[in-house]
Amino acid sequence: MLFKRRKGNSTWRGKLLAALVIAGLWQVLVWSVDGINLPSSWQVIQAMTEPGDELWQHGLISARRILISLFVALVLGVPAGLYLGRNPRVDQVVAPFIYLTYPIPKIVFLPLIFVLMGLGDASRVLLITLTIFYQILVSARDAARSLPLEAVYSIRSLGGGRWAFYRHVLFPYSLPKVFTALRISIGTASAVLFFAESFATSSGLGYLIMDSWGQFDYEKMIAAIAGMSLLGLLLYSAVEMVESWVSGWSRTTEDR
Amino acid sequence: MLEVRELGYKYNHSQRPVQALERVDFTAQPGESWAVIGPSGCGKSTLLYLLAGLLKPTYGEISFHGREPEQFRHEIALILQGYGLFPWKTVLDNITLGLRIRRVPRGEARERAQAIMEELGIGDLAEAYPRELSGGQKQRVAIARSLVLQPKLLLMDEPFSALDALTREKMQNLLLKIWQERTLITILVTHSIEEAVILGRKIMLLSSLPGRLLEVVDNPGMGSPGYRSTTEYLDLANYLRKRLEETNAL
Repeated sequence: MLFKRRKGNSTWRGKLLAALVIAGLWQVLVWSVDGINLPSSWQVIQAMTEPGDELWQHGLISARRILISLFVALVLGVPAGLYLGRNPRVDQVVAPFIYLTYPIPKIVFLPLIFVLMGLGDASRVLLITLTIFYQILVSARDAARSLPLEAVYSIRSLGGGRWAFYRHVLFPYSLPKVFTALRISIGTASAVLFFAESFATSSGLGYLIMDSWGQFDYEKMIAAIAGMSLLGLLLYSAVEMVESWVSGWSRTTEDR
Repeated sequence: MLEVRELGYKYNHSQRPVQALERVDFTAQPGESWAVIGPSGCGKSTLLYLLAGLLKPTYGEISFHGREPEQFRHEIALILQGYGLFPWKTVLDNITLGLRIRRVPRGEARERAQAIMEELGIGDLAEAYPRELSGGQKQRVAIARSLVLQPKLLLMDEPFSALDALTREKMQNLLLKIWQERTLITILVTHSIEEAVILGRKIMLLSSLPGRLLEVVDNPGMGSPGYRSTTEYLDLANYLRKRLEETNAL
């Protein structure tokens, strides 16, 4: 790891400060642009905190879509990746399929998925899941491949069979790398989420952004964009929390 | 009684198969401690992996009290060269893992682990992670992890090679004590002649590749107090050194 991660690197105080600086810069932009009626930072904050506002309902729908996608991608991608990483013969057969389909930006399947599965929530969730799934699969597989032989000997000499190997060795060993992939995936997932929601739907933050743009309601539009950022931030923080809980052992390795 | 007959092993993973061991024959009695010594790359570790059941013999057979390796797997403990501790588990979890795999209840596993840890002087390290330990402490954890399984056959691959001189001597004495208090067969692979003479009641000399059994040297004085400074010890060390030099010259 090139950069040591220290405590305090991502405290809430730091995030609040960053939000204030961004709000300040936005305000400078608002003052310097003539002729367009951009909302001030204060107006955006007000729009976001209005009680019972539709922003939060749309935000919750988006959050739900991303969370289901992350969950499905993890549940499918991690075991499949670990299995492929430990079974070179199977991997040899599957790898060409992965390399052929991995580089395709999954967003191009949007029309196809809509045609096949209709315009419902499932289509949008599937699209986001596909995007994240590949990243999780590939990183879990690479992690499983890099396991030192000594660890294999170690568990086997303790009498461990296949199950003990996966549960006590391969899974905990690969987890930090899966989490790294997961954190990167959240950024990609948000981008795909926006696309998936900006088309043929009437819910979600992506819809709200496009809809308020169409209505020249810049206040609502900027608030929805800020909502996207907040959603990403919350997801990112949640992943960090779970990570330090389940694989805290890997955290400070470089500090010693 | 551990019987090894005509044991041979061939590595097949490259285009050119490598014969690592050839026709190794020996019999070890309960309570005996063996040291295996030979030039580097002579198949010493391969011999241990075969005995531990991690590799399957290409030729020959191994039996323990007349049983096949598959039937005595649970009576063997192996200490790997790099200790083989899992960095994601605490010291206690590392030590109890083998017991948990054998379905020993958690409470009993903890008690047994704690007793062994006290014996080895690491009783207060239960909640530490391996990365927080010194080399000597890691070595003690690895030994505790093996002993807690109450093995009848204890295999060690260069267990003290990464330790500084003083710690190494301390660990060697600790191992002597452990060995004297239990009736188990220990087989220790080492590249240090001194270590072989200190810890091996029988010393097995292997040739360079393919590893063949050159000689089994008896070492009756081993384990007696102050053995390190006797002429017997020095003579034997000199003899082994000479034999090893001959092997390397071949």
